[in-house]
Amino acid sequence: MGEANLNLLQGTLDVLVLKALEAGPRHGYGVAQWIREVTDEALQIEEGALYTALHRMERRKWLSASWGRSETGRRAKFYRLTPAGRRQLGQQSRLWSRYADAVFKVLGAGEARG
Amino acid sequence: MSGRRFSPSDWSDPRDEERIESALDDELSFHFTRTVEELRAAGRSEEQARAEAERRFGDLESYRSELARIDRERVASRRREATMEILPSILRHSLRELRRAPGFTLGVVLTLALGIGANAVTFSLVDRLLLSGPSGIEDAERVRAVYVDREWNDSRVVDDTLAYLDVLDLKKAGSLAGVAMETRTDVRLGRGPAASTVRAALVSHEYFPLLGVEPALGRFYGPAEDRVGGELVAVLGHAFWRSHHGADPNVVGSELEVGDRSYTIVGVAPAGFTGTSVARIDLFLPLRSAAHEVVSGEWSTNRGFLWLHAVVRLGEDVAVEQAEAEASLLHRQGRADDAGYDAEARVLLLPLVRSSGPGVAGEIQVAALLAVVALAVLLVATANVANLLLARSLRRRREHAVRLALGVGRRRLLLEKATEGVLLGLLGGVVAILFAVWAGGLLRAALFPWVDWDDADLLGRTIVFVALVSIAAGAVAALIPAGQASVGDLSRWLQSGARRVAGGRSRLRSGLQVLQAALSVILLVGAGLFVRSLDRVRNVDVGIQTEGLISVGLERWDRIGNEEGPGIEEAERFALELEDRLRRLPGVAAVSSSLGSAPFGGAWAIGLRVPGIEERPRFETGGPYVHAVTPGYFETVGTTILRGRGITADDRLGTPRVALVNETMARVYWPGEDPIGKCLIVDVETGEDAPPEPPCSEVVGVVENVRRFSIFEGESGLYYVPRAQRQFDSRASIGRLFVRARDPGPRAMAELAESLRREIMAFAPDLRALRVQSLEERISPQLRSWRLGAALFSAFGALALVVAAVGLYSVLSFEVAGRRHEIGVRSALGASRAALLRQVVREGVTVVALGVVVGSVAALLLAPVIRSQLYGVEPTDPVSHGVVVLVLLAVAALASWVPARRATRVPPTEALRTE
Repeated sequence: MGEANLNLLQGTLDVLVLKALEAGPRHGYGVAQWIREVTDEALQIEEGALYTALHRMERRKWLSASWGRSETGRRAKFYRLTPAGRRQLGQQSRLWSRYADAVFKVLGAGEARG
Repeated sequence: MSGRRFSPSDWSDPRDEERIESALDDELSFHFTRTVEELRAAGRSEEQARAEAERRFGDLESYRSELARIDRERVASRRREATMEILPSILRHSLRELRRAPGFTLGVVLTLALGIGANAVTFSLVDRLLLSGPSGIEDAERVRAVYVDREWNDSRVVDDTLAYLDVLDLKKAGSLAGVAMETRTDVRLGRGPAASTVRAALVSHEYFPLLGVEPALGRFYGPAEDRVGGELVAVLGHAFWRSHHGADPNVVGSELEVGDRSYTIVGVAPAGFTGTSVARIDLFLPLRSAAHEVVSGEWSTNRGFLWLHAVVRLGEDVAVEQAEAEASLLHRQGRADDAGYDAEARVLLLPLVRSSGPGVAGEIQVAALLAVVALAVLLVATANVANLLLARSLRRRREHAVRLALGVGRRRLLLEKATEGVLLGLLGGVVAILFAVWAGGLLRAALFPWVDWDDADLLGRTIVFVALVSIAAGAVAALIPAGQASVGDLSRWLQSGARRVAGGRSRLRSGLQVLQAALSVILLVGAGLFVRSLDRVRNVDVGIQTEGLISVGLERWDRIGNEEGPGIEEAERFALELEDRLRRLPGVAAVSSSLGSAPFGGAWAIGLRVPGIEERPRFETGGPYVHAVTPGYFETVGTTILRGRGITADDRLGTPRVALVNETMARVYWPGEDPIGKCLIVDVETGEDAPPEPPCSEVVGVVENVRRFSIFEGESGLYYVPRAQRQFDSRASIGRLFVRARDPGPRAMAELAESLRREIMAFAPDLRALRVQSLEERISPQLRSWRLGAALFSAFGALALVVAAVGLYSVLSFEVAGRRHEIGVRSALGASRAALLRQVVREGVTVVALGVVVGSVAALLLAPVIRSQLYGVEPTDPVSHGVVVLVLLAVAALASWVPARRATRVPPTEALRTE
């Protein structure tokens, strides 16, 4: 699929969004809220970019969307993972772990020498 | 949504856009509302909360449009997928539909097949003659034919015959990468009764490399053979190699008897190769060593011998204009010493494939015209099918409405229609191909016998063309009614019960009928103009009675080197004896011969002096030309003696010399005077050692003008002397015999020709060549373009008329059937059957009449386009136009009357009961 070639930032956003939906369907606002909470607002992500990721992944059939009632009773568009999306999440998480491991190793090696 | 019509824009539903936009708005407004609520709950003011929400989101405008773009892509790709998924089931549905009404399907397929077939046939003609051009030429765009545009005798002449030295002049041009020359001629192959005539091209050795062809077998010839006195070699045309040598791979090295000489076969040209034109070539001979097959004498040094065509290849990156300028300059330089020559003469380098301009055969121009005509036929056929499908879809409105109500998508219905149309089109295309292979072959053989059709790719190209045309025609025919049929009006259709609503005539349907009628008028007017031209051309007075006249050309002795040949005595005795023998054959009414010139046989000029006239007058076509004829000649060929007497048996050696002149010669030499009794001095020689002048030949009669070669040539000066008086040196020629048949019927003529052949061969088995041909046969190639135009325009016009009539008939039948109820009611109320009949017929005829008006106006505007293809008929010829109008109205009346009568025959009770 050539996913590794994806722009790092976009890939990061995708994996965050997929992760946000792992536990179950959420609407866009819910996804944004979840990411803000779990990262302690460490990541400054424009919500517009988040929605772009949602719609893009809907187009690629990693997510499916349907309209439903929100917890406050309003009409909202809920996204959920499709099987393809779930596979994607697995792959990307592994990729990310390896990447992060590598970065940590490099950083650790630098510290040891200094 | 109800009442909305199907439209082609359904393929990308405009409602999708609205849906995308509104969903996006909902989603984003939910997001902002929640964010603001949350921030308010955390204690921000309304204003602060909004500002924060907007900051968090980023540039709303650009994100929003990006989101909309992604969604549009998503919707479009889902649509495509959905279409692909339902396609097989649609295909099955369409096939079922076609099987459900086999009669209807057959009618539609045949109608389309006629339209497509007409195009397939003309495509194969146009492709060979105008699109692909001569095959096998490398980079054909840069190969050009040489024409010279010059003034001659106060008129402009553009032609491509050049002298040998003219072509050599062009070789000096730096802007030309190559120069080659060619001339084509009929040559005799073999001897005696087995002799046949084949097409030879004498081409210089540069010809093959210039065109970039490689031999299929053996080799081409080079400069060593292509020189005066060079070895006689021949390259066979591919088709000739197959037909005459059974594609023998060992043919190279064997000998071929051409004319009086033997040629060694050195190679075979590639398949389909016909040089620079599409005309068939059997043999390629080296131009310089085989020149004697065409010319004799100073052909290589005298610029008066115009006998060659030049073909050049433009140099790399050389513009045509540049090459023409250089060639023109060289041409004028070469002709500088030629006093009578136009000093402003220009050389034109014309493409090999062109549909108009100098040197393009009339029938090629007609073929181009026919391509347009065939398209018109297809348009009529498509309009017809559209009408039939429209009628059917109206009949099935209820069914459609129900299916829509049951949730079958509009898109799907539309796809079904399109698929059905394409299927019908393709079925029509298959039939059309079969038709084209059959009819195209006949047509090509009948109308273009001179063209080499040996082109394997042609069928492939035709099939591709037909497939494209079929799909287009089928889809258009299916989608026109789909765009019109209001299938969505559920409530109205579900309520209306089984009864069909007449609803008045559909404007679209009337429009299609008007179009059909108009196109039919245009085609038929074209047919009428061509038929009348052909008729006029046939009736051109050529000065002889061609019907029932047979021409016999024969060669016994080589006229070129006749020093060793027989004396004039022997030749004349042979000729007279032969005439006598033929005269005694059954079926022969009269036999005479002409030596020197002969109508449609040749023209020969010799020294002539007319006392009192110092400067020899000029004739439009040169001359005057001499004929030495036997007694009764004018009666035999059917030339009218206008004044004086003809040639009799008393005009022989020893009696006073006499002569007859034609009208033109009499007028030019002695304007306003009586030519009878004037003096011609025949066979005068000029110069130092010239013998003394012969005595006067007294003019004893004047005959009507006779054509020399062409039906359309200008007037020439002709004169006739008694053959027996031997007024000039005949060089042992036998001349041409003319045989008048008792029975001019085609069968009798063919039998007579055969018995003449037998008799001649029995009398003189050592003949070198013999050609027995009716005058009609000799002239018929000149009628080809009119015959082609008349035949195909008539065929296509009739086709269009039939299709349009069937269309009108079926649509009216449908309409009248739909109005049975109304008609029943009206006749129950006392309307007379005649009145009802009149009303229905009037409706049918009115629509057609409108089409006739439109078509007549269009035909009047378009007819001048074919003016150059007509003869003796004005494009606005009232007879052609008038007859067509009457025919069309009559056909319309008939096509309406039949269904009208059927409908009005139904008893009112029954019509009302069908409710």
